[in-house]
Amino acid sequence: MHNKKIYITVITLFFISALVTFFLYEYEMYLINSGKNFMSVNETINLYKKKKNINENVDDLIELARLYSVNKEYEKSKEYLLKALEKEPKNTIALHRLALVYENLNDFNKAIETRQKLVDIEPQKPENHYYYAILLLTKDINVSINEIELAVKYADESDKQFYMEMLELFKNSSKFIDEEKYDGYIDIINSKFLESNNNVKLEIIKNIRSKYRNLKIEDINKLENLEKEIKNNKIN
Amino acid sequence: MNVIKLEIEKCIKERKYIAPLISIVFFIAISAYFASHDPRGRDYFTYTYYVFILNCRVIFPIIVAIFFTNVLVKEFEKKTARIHFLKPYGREKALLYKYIAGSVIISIIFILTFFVYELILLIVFKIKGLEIFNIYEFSFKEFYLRAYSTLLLQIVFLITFGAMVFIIGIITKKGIITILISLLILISEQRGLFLDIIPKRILFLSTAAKYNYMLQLDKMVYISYLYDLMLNISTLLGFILISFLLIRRIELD
Repeated sequence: MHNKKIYITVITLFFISALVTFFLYEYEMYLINSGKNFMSVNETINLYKKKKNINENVDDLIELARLYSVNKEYEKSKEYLLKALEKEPKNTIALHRLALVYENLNDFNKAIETRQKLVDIEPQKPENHYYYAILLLTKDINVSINEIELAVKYADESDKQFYMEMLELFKNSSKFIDEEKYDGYIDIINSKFLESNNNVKLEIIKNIRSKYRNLKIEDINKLENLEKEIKNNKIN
Repeated sequence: MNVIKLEIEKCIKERKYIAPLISIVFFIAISAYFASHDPRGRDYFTYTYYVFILNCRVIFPIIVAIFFTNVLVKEFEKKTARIHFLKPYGREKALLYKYIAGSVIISIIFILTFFVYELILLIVFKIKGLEIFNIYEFSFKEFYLRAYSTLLLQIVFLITFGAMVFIIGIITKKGIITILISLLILISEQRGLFLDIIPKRILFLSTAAKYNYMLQLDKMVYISYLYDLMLNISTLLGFILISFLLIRRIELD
């Protein structure tokens, strides 16, 4: 073959570059599959903070607050959400996030107050009544039931069943509670409706302890175990 | 080296560089016009971004296809191929030198026009700031790294495309058919017609307009970039090898 040298050079270079390309492809796939291609929350926060006029844009403030919430920095999250609400007091996303932040900070009075605002702004949205009802469990189950009834009223056909089940459970539980039995609360805590509200569950257990002074040892143990379980779940 | 120099001089003497130069300047100017009418922001980043958005998919590859067709196919059409390829150093080297000369010219034109464009923006029009669409603010260092890395990938893509044009040119030996087939390949790629045969991630044509590297924020941006660069280089070397095999087998008039 003529020009044997040039063929060898091109073929060698081709194989070397193909090999490097293959390894880069594999590495890229590894980064994607392991999720390591994304920036960490802290890196994203730093990037957001570099933005010009961050305090001027409500959407940016809400997003930054969300990132702090993901990082479990609830005080900072609250700070940015309050800034956003200063600019747009009726921003429902900011209000919803703020209520969640207050819930995580165990400030249930403020959380309820914020949910109340949301319900006033969007009374026909069943989700608002649902979240509000859950928070109200820490105060009065009967007020909570009123809110679920409103959720049922405004829910469309696809969601109605969910709220109806919730209403039924809450009503049954309230009968126990009226009879001075705390079991009604336990049924609610263990239900699917409070699946992601660990702080509310812990607050309810705290309320049971202070309300029912004459608990038996076995009841105290039962509550302690449940509390441990919720805390473990919260950590996980 | 001397042969490459001679090939470059030949291209310059025959004024083969003028058409791509004028076309690239023209289309970059059009990009600047559209960038200046973008309500999202009139900053440096937007102007640079528009060059890649508007031109990289079809316009620049077509300019390159016409140029590389001129460099090679004209030898067949003018019946000078026999003189050119029957050199003592062999057909392969003759073809390689022609290809390198073409690639050098197109790269110089591309880099120069882009660089002059950036300078005009900066000095004459005083367009400053790197705030892309009012979102993130990159440092100048990051901006230049991203803009010129994108430019480098674009140039490597274009010369790889040129290598493909060479293969088509050797097979058809006709300028207009070579350009039409190149255009057809570009359009087919954009309509996803190749995806049934070749996965997108290993198709060099899919790297035609990787301007998203200027905006992408995740950590993978440089790995993906290097992969695209190496994919083009591998494809280029593959095309060169194919053209060697073809040039050896064709009959020279």
